[in-house]
Amino acid sequence: MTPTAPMYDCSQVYVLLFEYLDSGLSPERRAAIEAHLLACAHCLEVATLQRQVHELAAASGKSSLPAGMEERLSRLLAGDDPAPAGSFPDAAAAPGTGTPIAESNAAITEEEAAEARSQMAG
Amino acid sequence: MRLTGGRLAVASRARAVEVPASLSQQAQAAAFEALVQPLLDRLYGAAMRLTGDPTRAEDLVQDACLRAWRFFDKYEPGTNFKAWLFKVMTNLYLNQLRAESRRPETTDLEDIDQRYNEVVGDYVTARSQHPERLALERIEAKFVRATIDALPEMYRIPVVLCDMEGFTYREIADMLEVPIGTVMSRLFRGRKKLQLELMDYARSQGYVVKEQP
Repeated sequence: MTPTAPMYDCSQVYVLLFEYLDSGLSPERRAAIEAHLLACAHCLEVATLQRQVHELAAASGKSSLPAGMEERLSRLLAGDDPAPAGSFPDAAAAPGTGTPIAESNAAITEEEAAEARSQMAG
Repeated sequence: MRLTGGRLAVASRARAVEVPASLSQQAQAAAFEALVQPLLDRLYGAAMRLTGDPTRAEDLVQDACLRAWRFFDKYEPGTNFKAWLFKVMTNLYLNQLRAESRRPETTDLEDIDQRYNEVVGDYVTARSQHPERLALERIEAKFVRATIDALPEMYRIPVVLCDMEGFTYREIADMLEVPIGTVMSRLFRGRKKLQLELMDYARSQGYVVKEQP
């Protein structure tokens, strides 16, 4: 027996669509949203728009280093050039030891997401 | 570090204090080189979106790489180097804003949720009556970038880190040192603002597709 997927109405789906887009949410919630999207042209349209915007943003960001920047970076890091004045504010904290290997957004807990969802619902 | 023939080569002087032995130093330099090199273009692209200025972006990337190298012995192998490096750069950027006595721009997008619901609701309702849709896919990347650049900083940073760089909510929360819920609400509001601007632009440009009823 698989857990019964919750039934969502449009307002509930609306609040969760961005998390759905970001591969968040539990499998049960994802299944419930997919069931709703199959039956609701309105929410499907909203989800399609959001996905399009996400894809446009993702595709718009390609940049290459400016000409000569690799050389300048090279000299700087080799210690041949002094660091630019003011480039390291003393107050800047050490960056920490590392960030865990990326987990999926599905690992976000209900409590962690609650604040954002309540704002979206409002 | 030298970039010779497109490859990074790290020299010893930049971090002479922390590195105990030359062999270890060389190994660390090689590791740093291998990890940083493939990320430079991404790092610069994100720096451009954060600063909105090529000169500031270049300075930010340089500072981030130099700082990452100086603190490389703190990096824990096996953890997410890209997230660590971007955290270094994001921290530097936020520290620069503070040093300039400038807090991240916090233009209020409180009303965006309601406006988004109204505009998108109206559009979707109209779509069910008229066989036309906005062709967002025709919007030029240059305009999308400019629109992202124009987002208030507080909302722009999560959009850049999530939508353009693919970081998870938790990674972004760690970089910005804010709760995950805050990352999500800022990201979602930034996206809503971006979407409304892009829909407006598509309308103004006549990017409309007529569909068969």
